Amino acid sequence: MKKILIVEDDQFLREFYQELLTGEGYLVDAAEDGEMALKKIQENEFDLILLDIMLPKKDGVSILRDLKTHPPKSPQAPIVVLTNLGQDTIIKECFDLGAEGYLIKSALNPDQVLTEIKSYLSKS
Amino acid sequence: MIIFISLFLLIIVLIINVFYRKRAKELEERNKKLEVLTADNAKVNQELENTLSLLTEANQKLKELDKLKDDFVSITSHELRTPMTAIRSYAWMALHKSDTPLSKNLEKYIIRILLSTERMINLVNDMLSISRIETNRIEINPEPIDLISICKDIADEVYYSKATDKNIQFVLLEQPIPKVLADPEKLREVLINIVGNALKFSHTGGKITIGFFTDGKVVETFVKDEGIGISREDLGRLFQKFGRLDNSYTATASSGGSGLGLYISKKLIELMHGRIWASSGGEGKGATFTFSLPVAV
Repeated sequence: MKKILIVEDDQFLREFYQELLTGEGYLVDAAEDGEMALKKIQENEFDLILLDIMLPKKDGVSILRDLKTHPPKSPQAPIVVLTNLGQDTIIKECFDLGAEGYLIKSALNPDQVLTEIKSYLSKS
Repeated sequence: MIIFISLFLLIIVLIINVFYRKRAKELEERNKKLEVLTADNAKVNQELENTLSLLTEANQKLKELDKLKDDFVSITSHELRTPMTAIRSYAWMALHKSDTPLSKNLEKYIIRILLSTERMINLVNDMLSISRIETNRIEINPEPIDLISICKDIADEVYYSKATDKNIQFVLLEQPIPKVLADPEKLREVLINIVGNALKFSHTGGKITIGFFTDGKVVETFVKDEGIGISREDLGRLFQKFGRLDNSYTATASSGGSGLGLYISKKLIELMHGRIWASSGGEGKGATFTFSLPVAV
């Protein structure tokens, strides 16, 4: 069973993605701030990580940077940024720091988000 | 004789003396006037300097206010997106993942929540795009693009994403055209806007035609519909910000758009060194939107 980590600080959205993905048969773990996310990524193995950018304690870009400079011992899951920030500079920075994909929450319907997630999982 | 000469010299000296005194007095007076003038000048200069510094200060304050406004639009728009995404997500869940079957009415209500939220999200996204364009925070990354394939994608995407039962026929007039130089994401945004408009303003059973012209230097892409058309006076307002609001043709058509799409499209096309324009035979006679882009060399 594929394991997904969802990093999202908004409780309603976090629970929505959890419910959506659990309903599709995935094992879902969640983190609500950047520090918790980094700890979970370093201590567990996932098949896919969905990472928000604006997060309490540590933002998503810093997480990507930390993971690039100190990669975890176990092979790291692809990280797909899932955010509402759409600035070109941030998108570029995320890809430069190793993000596999960049999805803008408000631009996608839930079924489009699912399609994207499935396509990233099939690659991993 | 000597006395006479001395007397004569004395008289001359006296005359010269009187003359010089008079001259000195005049000079003194002139000097005084000059001093007053200089003082006045200094005063005027000082006043000018004061005004200049006040203006600089006011200008600085205006710049700060403008930045505050941009930041405000940008931050509020962004903050609005999170709860709106949550509303849309849960409305979608209620519609697609409900554990009990929905009544027809409930289904209709939820669909309306979903559509209205999507409108709000689009409006906020448009506002963010504008704030980025107007503060030069938009990046254009041009690359050679195959217009035909991108137009096919957009036609499919727009057609299937809009809940439409209008039964519109899409025609793509394919012909060999050179690749153009454009930013693929920005071009997609423009095409989605124009093709989306064509679909929105078409009558049931209508036809939308997408085609191209080229002179080897630029490629013109046109999107033609047979919909409600545009009056002559409205044509000039189309590409303005909120052009829809004082525009009777769209207002009566209850377009449901933000009124910002064409303004954004124009700005994006211009940033990619192209032009965009519209033509229409008048109300009820359809409309054609055309944009040009430079050929990639």
